[in-house]
Amino acid sequence: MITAPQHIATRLPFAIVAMAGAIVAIAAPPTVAEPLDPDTRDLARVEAAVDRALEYLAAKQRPDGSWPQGVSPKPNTGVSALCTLAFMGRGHVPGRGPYEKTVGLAIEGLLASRQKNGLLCFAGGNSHGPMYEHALATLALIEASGWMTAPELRQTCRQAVDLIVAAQNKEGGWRYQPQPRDADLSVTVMQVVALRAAQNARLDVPQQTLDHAVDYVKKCSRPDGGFGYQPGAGVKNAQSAAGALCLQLLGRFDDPAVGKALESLQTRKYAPQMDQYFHYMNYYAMQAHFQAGEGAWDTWHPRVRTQLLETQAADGSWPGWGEERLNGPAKCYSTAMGAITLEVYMHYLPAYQR
Amino acid sequence: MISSLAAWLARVAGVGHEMASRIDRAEFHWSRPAVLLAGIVLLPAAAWWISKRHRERMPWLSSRQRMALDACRTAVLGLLFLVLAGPSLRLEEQVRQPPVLAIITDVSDSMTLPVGRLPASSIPAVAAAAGLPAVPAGDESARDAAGDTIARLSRSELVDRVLATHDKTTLPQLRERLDVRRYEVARAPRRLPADPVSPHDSHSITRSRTRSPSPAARMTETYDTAIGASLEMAMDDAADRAIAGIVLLSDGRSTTGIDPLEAIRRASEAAGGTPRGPVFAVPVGSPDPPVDIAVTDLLAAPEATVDDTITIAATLSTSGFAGRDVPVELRDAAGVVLDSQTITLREGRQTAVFSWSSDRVGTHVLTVAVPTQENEIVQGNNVAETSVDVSNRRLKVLVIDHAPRWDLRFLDHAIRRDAAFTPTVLITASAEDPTGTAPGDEGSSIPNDAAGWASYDLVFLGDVPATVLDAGRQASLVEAVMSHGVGLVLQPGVDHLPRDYTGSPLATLFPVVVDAATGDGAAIVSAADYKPLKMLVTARGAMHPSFALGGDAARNRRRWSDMPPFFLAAAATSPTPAATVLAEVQAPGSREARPLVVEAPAGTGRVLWIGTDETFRWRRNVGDQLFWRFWGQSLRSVARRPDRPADSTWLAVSPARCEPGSPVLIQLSLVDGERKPVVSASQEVTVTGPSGGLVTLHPGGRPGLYAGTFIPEAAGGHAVGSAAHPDATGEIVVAEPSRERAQPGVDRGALEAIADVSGGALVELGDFASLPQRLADTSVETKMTYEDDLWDTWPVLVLLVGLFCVDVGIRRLSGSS
Repeated sequence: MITAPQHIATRLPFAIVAMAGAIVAIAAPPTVAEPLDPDTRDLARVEAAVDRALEYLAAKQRPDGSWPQGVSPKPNTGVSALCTLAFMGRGHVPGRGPYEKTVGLAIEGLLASRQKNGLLCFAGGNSHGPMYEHALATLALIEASGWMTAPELRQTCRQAVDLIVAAQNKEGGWRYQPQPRDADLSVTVMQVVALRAAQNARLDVPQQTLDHAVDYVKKCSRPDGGFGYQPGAGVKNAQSAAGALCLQLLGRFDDPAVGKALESLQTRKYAPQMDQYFHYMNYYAMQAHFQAGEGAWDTWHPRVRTQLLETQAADGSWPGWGEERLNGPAKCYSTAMGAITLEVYMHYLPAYQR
Repeated sequence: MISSLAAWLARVAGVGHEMASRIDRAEFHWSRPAVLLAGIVLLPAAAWWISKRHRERMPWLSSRQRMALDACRTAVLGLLFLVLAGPSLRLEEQVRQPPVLAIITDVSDSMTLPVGRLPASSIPAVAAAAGLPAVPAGDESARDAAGDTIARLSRSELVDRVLATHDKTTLPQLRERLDVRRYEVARAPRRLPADPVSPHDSHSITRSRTRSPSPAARMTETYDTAIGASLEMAMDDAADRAIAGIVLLSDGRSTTGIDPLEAIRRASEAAGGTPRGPVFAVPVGSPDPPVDIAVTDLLAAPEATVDDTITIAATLSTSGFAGRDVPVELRDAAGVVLDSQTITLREGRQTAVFSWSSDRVGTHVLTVAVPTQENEIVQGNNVAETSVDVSNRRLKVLVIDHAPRWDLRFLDHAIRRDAAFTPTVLITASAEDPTGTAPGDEGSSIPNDAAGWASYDLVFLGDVPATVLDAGRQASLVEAVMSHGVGLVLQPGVDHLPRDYTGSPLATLFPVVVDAATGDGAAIVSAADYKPLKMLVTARGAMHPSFALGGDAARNRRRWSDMPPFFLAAAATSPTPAATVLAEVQAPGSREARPLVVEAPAGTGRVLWIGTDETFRWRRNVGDQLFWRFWGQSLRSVARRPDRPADSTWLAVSPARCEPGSPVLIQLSLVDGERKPVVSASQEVTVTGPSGGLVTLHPGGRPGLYAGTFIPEAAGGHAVGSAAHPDATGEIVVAEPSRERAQPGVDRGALEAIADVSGGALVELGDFASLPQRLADTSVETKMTYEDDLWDTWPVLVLLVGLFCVDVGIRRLSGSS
């Protein structure tokens, strides 16, 4: 029998790829406000860091629109979708601006991955099941559909969303393969994020599907705070961040499990050693604290900003830390993760609206 | 200098005495020397031939008479050769153009704050620069005493002292080699009439301040600092002259107008990429922020519905009180505390958030205040005020777009959260349609008659194809707007609106003229990647409800004009008659502007054109706050207003709360007893209050509607009334702002950035005397050459006439003719 930690160890690389880029927000009460004048100097540094990262990524893009990754020389739609989201999250939308060609090529690459059943994944580009990549690519294409009205793109998005709805298992969760069998929190939150983005773009998503997903995520929470990979599994920082964000995205802002999970994260020493999958944890935690609002956000975001600004290389990339296997020498995954984490400040992607 | 003969010749040639004194070199010159040579060769032969002819033809002449006649006619011939040879005088003048030195002095309200305690090491130098008694080296008590004296001075007083001291030493050195010009800046920059030319005239700045039109007007001028505009003015004034430097004496707080760095960047771009001139920024005031707590911003939705809970966010800025627990109170107009929370202060900025709701319809004035703390240096910035209009009406809004564009996704969420709206959102695209222009399921729900459209107070129309919104639907929408007062918001995109609608019924409602040929027939303006488009809010737009952030039009304008650049805009070339341009779009470095946000009356309704689908960029770093501020206010201002129908008399002021010097739009709708519009060339309304007067209103878009602008000069309540209709009244509340004092510290970082970007340096006040060494003498020497003909001068004429007279005289005397 495989234990929960083993599941995490073997499957998280793709969870990292998949979950990191797909933070989708849902309508929330407008009870929190940032100052009208944030510290512009800090924000200027953040924007400059993101711009350097995007320059790095643009230079690494392959002719087919994908980005290199460490698992396989074949394209991985998860990594490519993350990189695409990094550009759009800075306002470089399809059809406009200095990265018009880069983003356009990336969208073409993602569309080319569509299989007959609507799955967005190239064969051989990953070592696990395709649902993480599918969810991330779905999210990227849904965001791009706000700027590209090609019927092919709309049809692809609709088909991709239908596939996610059909793959939900009876517990309310999702797993690596596009069949409704077993489930885990890592894959589930990714699909929820994509579904919320679809709702945001006014694609049909049954409310029952989302309600059912809430049931599964709550089963993964621990009574003493935090979340596990599956119901009954031990608490991990990365899973706590993901679980809290998942409930927030599903509209459960006031669920006690959310506050406990964030408190659990805030009491840990913040460093790349905090989790084996630091980028994954960092991004989910940043988004979850942003969704939580004023107090939690104020506590969390300065440490993330400081850490990322201090560790960015001169060429604009970030190190992979514990995720070098997925990252590979091109460091596109970690650089995209670093960029989209800082882009939480910018509020550009509709999926991120609180 | 030239010789006296050359000088005489120059004068003969018509050169004035003053100019002749500046001539460095004069040279006699023949334009056609060959003619002169020919004359020299031919003249003796001609003289011989003339003499011979005289002897043969006029033998009765005496020899003296004949010789005189010979000489006279030979001289005329010789003169002819001289004239034909083109004698001229070539004059050379060396012109030296000294480079410009602009000295800009900040005279805004924040400059009246105390200087504060300077670092001990800088006190002796500043004391010397300010003309205070010298501080002996090592004498700490003298240094402390000087430090106390300086700390008590206001920033402006310190600047005046430094300039007066250096007017006898440093400035004369500069004037010798530079063209020194002085400016002062507050809300707007202005060039002082003349630079003092003698030490006795060294207080021109102080004197010029007293020449302001009125104390009230003078007061309003100091509410802001337009550093960027002052730099722009100094550089524009220099025209093509070299700029040795711009000395900026300021506390660095620029609160209005163009961003200083943008002004420098534009000037550099216009000069071909090189900095136009170095800015030497002189920070005035202590580098340590004064001990202070300030409420620097207060944000709340300006309108709400009854029992709707809104968020009020107050931004606090703290210096010197970190760790102290203070109450932050939300109060109503009567001072009653509605809510209070205790917060632990920390250095820098933090936000206090209140929730508020009301069951009472009307305008609610809300205040957030922090009690004044002991030792606070700056008083009066612990309070900020806003107002919320509460109504009991929900606006029915129909939102139609063909695809879920990003702006629509944000708008969709925000409009659903706002209790003032009841939205219906239709996305008309069909996934099954290969062309992407046929209506989907939701497209069939679009109203197809005027009554259907009129069941909504407002219609938002996005990038919808004309195949979806067919001519019949368009015509019924036009009727609903014109006759039923439905508001219409148009947000063009890249695919359908406006290009599908050329010549269609809907196009009659466009408040702009669209150039359909732009962008290869797409009717869009596309910016280059490296040169995106920039929105500039107009003066009228700054006081329009869409862009309102507070009672200060200048701040509204600056805030919105600072929005991130974008890449596409609808190709509007000009507004239609009666339309009001609220914002324009401009490419960086270009002065050409196109209408971007335009409002116009349309029958009994109103139309708002928002010429870009990239307003999502306004979310940068602040989320929904500015995005929804604009959209929420725009939708409210355009929506059908039952309280302002076209068939009744009413008076409206916007904004109802403002600050002195900020323009207020007054609109008056007048109908007669039969509810028909009263048409005249103008109408007058009377404003009574601390700065009242008569305001003339002019026709404003439809018969019976008049509009005009009133600019209050003093704080206090102002009543507005119409002589034509006693029931048409309004009220304006004018309050003084505390913006200049909201962040009372010296912004050395901003000054340093200005200096860095321009290629200048930060110069401490104590180092003012080092300016002559820092300013390069880049005088331009120009050689000016003039050439004046000498043949058409009076001596030649006198000679010619004299010779002619002699010739005639001889002939007469001899009886030859």
